Amino acid sequence: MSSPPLPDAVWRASRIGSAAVRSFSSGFAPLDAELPGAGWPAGMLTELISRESGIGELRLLVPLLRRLTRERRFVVVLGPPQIPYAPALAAHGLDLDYLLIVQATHAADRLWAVEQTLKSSGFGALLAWLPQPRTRPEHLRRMQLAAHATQGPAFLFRPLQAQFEASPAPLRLLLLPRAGERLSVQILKRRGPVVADPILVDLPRPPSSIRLRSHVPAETALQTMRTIHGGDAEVSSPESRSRSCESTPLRETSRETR
Amino acid sequence: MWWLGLFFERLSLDVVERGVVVPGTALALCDRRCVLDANDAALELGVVAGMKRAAAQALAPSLRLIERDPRAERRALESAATWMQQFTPSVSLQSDLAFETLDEASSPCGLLAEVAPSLRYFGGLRALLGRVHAGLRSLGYRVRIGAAPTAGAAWLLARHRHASFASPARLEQRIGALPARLLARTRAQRALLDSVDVRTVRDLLALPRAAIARRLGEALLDELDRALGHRPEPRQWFETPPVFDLRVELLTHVEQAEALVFAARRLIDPMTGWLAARRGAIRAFTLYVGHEGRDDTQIGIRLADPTRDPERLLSLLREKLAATRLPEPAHALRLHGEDIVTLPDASGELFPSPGAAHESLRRLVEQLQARLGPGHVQRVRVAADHRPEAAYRIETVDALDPNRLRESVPAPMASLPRPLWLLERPIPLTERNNRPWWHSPLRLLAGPERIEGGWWDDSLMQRDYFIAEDDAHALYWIYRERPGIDGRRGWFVQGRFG
Repeated sequence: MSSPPLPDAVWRASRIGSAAVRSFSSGFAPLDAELPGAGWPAGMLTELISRESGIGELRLLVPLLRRLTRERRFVVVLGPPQIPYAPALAAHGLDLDYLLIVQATHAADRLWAVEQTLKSSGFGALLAWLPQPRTRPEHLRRMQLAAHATQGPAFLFRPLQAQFEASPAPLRLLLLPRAGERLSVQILKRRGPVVADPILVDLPRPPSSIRLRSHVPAETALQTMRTIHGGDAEVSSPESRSRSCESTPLRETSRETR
Repeated sequence: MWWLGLFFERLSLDVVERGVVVPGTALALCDRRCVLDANDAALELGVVAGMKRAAAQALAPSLRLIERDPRAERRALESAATWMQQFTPSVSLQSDLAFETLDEASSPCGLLAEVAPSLRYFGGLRALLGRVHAGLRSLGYRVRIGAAPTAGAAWLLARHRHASFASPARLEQRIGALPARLLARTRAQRALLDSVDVRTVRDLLALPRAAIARRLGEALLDELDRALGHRPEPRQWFETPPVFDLRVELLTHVEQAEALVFAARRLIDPMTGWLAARRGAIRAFTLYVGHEGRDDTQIGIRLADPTRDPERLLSLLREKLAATRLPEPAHALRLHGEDIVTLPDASGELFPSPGAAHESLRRLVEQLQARLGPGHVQRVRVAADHRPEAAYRIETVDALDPNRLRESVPAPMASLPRPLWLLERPIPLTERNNRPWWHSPLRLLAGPERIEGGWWDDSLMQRDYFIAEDDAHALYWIYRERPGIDGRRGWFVQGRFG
């Protein structure tokens, strides 16, 4: 029996939502496969939950941010926990002209700023860190409402305890760091069936960076390197790829710096 | 020719009502003896026009009795004329009896606008009429609009009933059907018309001209001739003032910012009309908040990007007012603006361009700066320096102009790993079993990378940088101070790989 066509806004719980959502590829094929709309969705909130900042949550978004800033779309970084470090951002290929950093110290100001930004809808992507003790469910509900008209994805970074709180965000991901510069992404909530297994993502690295001494067996490490650069064809030129695959001893490079 | 006659039927009351900040305030407009007009809240209390002041006050003790201020009315009408000039440059002020009371001096209470050249652009007469009516309504004016091929006819039709039209072919017929009393300006005229049983203009026109002129006056005949197009009607055009300045008296003393914003809206809207008439956008304006017995509080607002969008101006004003502490309650507001730039008119776009997104973002930046402070919207830049603390700088975004953004970016020193997050200042790490420790033991994954420098500006540093991983596999950028310079040593964490 064929089901009658449904309006785009309705999704069947057995299927992964797609058509209605405007989305931006995350740059990681395994992750795209599990995200509704095959990428980071626009017009709704995405919660990224992690123990603390600095575990790879920013590198997870690097492919998206690189693409948006190069398309001359502004990325608004609201209330970052530390200083976004310009040399590293530039090395990852982001156009710093299109990165706006908004500092709001007071919790009320920050919540207000997030809502205003979502309402303005002119940004390419919003990355916001919410003040956890002051964030109430009604704030999130208002933000989710305001996010409806946005043209780009909106990410809220939240601490671990947030995963146990109810949230109106249609997409919620739990991020855990893994060995070998990988990130485990567990989908806590999405418009679609439940995913039990976390997705492992190889975090991007600047095109010609040095290799880390890894504790995983050498063979796997090499494989990891290949996949990183294979999935990142936009940035790594053939020469940089070959360079990064040689195991350049670090001491040589550091001598250059001196 | 198509003329719009705009009769501001309750101009005096509308002007006074602008100052109402508490909705539901009962208001009556009066001269020295009688009530001239009353708002809805007052009518509900039983106050009617013609009542003696004392009687009205006795009937409704909460009633505010306010005397007419013809000067304020004229200013209000001029601001409406300015607003009207966004539709046509040919607008002129019209004087007539402001109230039904006969034998009074006439005062400006309406506008006449020649709109024939603008009809096509605004989508026809009915569409234009609807726009004008709704626009004036939102400015707080109740108007009746008539349209006719002559100014006089348009005015008569407007005074008769809202939205009455007379096409050129049916002009005579429509004017003829109007009640003759509409032409009477004095008690004597009305009594005469009633006594000879002249009901309509047609009846009047059937009488001999000489008799009309003798008994009712030349002026009345003139008015009819002009309305019917038998005589030319020269009009003096209203000129857009170069400076916008409008004041509103608040009826109550206001302390809350939100109530002030509510009142300021009635000044912002006429200003945007003025801007539209001058084909400009405002760059800076000042709001004066008047206090009893002391100087006005001045609130200056400067825009990063000129605009004439009322919502945007209002939201800026809202942020600014919320941040301003008034020394005393406000009793008047005055808006003054003259710094404008001429805008090229935006053309309607089929597909919105990225320009539209930038435009809304620019607005956002302004809004954020108004509340958080100008320094709180920033951009990071790469600086040419080896020392991690000096390799970036933070600059304030002042005007977001995508075309002006491009500047030469120093080539990043890309080949070495740098963390996406830099800590405000390095945090010292403890050492256990000769290994750095940060919540758990840290394993060194890469390094050392030696960075030395700063002898030229007294912040000499000699550090060996490592990439370290903790038990939970998070990566840190840590360094070891090289011993021997100034006694500092040990491990520090300076960044996280994000």
